[in-house]
Amino acid sequence: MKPKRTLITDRKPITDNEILRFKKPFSSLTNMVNNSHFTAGGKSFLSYGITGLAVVAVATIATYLLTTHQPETQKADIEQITTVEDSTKFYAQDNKSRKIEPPFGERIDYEIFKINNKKAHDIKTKNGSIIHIPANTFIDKDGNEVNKDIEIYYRDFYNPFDIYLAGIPMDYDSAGINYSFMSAGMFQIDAQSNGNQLYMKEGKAIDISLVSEKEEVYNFYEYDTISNQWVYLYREEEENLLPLTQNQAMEDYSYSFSQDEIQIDTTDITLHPQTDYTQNQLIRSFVGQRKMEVKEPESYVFSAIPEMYKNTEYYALDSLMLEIDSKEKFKPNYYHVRWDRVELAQEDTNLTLILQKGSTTSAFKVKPIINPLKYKKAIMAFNEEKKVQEIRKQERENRKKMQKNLQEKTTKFSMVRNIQVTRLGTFNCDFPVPQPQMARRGALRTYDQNHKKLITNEIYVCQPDANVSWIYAQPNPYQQYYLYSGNQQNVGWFITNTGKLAILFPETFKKTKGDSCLAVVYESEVGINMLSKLMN
Amino acid sequence: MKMNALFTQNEVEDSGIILNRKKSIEAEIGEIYDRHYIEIFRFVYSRVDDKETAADLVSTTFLKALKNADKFTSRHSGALKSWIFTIANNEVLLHFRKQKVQTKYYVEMEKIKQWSQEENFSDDMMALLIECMEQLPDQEYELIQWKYFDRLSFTDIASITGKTEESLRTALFRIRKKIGTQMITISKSRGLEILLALTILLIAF
Repeated sequence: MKPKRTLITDRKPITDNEILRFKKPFSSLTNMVNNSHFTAGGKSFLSYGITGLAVVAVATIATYLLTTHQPETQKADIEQITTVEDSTKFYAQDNKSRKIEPPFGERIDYEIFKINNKKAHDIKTKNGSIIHIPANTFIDKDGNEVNKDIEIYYRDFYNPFDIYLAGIPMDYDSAGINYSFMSAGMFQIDAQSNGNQLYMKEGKAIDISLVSEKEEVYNFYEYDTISNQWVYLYREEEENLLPLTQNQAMEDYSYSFSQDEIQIDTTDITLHPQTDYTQNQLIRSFVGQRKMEVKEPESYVFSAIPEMYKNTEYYALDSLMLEIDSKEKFKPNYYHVRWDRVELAQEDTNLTLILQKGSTTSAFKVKPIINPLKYKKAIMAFNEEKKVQEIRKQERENRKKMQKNLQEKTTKFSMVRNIQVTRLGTFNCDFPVPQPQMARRGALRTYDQNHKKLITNEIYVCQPDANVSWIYAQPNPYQQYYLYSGNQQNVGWFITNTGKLAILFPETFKKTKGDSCLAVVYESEVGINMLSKLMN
Repeated sequence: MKMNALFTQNEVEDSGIILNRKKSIEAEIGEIYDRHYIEIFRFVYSRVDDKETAADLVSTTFLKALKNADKFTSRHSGALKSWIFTIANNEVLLHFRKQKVQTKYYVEMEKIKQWSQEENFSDDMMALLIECMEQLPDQEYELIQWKYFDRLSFTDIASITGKTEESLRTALFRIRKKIGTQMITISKSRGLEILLALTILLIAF
């Protein structure tokens, strides 16, 4: 029987998280409806067309009148309706704001970089991220450029427990639904000079190549420390998300050989008499496009083009005359051959002319014919250049080592997110996810290893692999459970009423049954170390 | 800040703990947007080629729901969700009409496997099942897809199709029977060894 349709079963399944990335804030939809940016179907196209034309005409006239006759304040109100920020307030509108408050004091160290504000800097962080700071980026509170050395404070976060320790809120609720931010990388950046807070100059931007484990596109948020809310800035562009190995910012630090390091190996040169000779070829066509003029053919003297002796100590000379030393092997008609390769190699003070045509290579000892004064100058210039080259070589070696270290340190990171910030503060690549769907329930009634009941107000349950955690609290009698995914590894923790740290290990989640669960209680220091290990 | 619910909204509703909410339809649509976005996205995505189109259609669905909120009379949130599924279905059909192409049906293999496991089918039988589903008329296949792959409730499907839940149950029973008969016919014609198993399963299927 002929099938009526083909079921397509080989499409890659889409995950819930992927779907949520397409979810716009609901307020943006309501704004569209309220501002008549959208008209539902149902009527004929013609009726819409006529109505539409009328509306457009009225709107055009109204807009003209408004823009030409309304006071400035009213114009601002009209423009405000369509701002991106406005459409994203949904994420935070019902959020009970809370400040950044580390629960155990500052535990996550900042990396501090001292830089000169007058110069541009590329800073490499311990995790391998690169911060590009342009010159004259920072100003003081009075708007004056800072001429002194300044300190850049930077730290980044790649697991929910570090974020918890830093006291940065990652939760919000909207319309009674609990969400938490799933992070692809969060960082804080600050600048100070002699303990005074600095600010970024208007028009300046800091580019950050943030290493990340997540390969998907996320949103980019900034934490507003005045309203204590996350503020949506933009959705990442795919082209700003690159595999670590392909990222240009990283490649700038990669090591590459330069022409002046090419070594000429003369050890395997075989000497063959050259027979390829064409009378019509001029002497200046001695080798390919390279010009070589025979000065005294009988005495085997010729001038070398600078390209030939650029790798020798004579490189600083404008011109160089060479004389073939091994005359018995050299035939004058060699000047007429269009050689594939002509090179001058130097080993100690010995010079060798290498001529190659096809598979045949000939080598001849040559000696320079130069004015001793010029030679002295040339040698001095050569030694000078040699020093420069050695310094460059050392720099390249250092970069090579640094690159190797970077790669070793960033093995867990596969991607680089290229980000630009125009303010100092706390930034996060993330998107909101609801509590685990199809979840299991864990009891909030917890006991310690001695079967003593533990008292807490809130419990953190996180999925380390997904880099997300949720907070569950018990302000009302219905809230007897926390939720967790049976398919993911889960880790939980809370602070007891005695200030200790209670941990719900991954095994606890697998064994939890009934209305109570076992937490292991540690002194805060021990517990913090324990959880940090669990997260890494 | 404390999260203010340990039950998800679904669980609160499912367990009958429904607060006396006097919310506007718009707010209720907002709740459905929050709670069922993934479900509705999957419903649409199972019939369109790409994620972007699915996202656009879902946005349009909610925009239309908001625009026509005053036309929705029932105050039962379950019915509102079904109504939104109906709009989503209409949007998909409209999309295909505009594109002037035939409706496509995507189904994740995992979902077919899951249904097969629930019916105690072997891999061979699952292959037969797919073959038979491909021969069903669109309306019959859609019932199967919505019920067993999209896991929609009869209430939602009733809203989408405009039929009563009872008639849907009867229709689904007949379609299952039809699929079972077709599976036996095909296996007979191919002399497959699973004939006996199918005969027995037919009773249960």
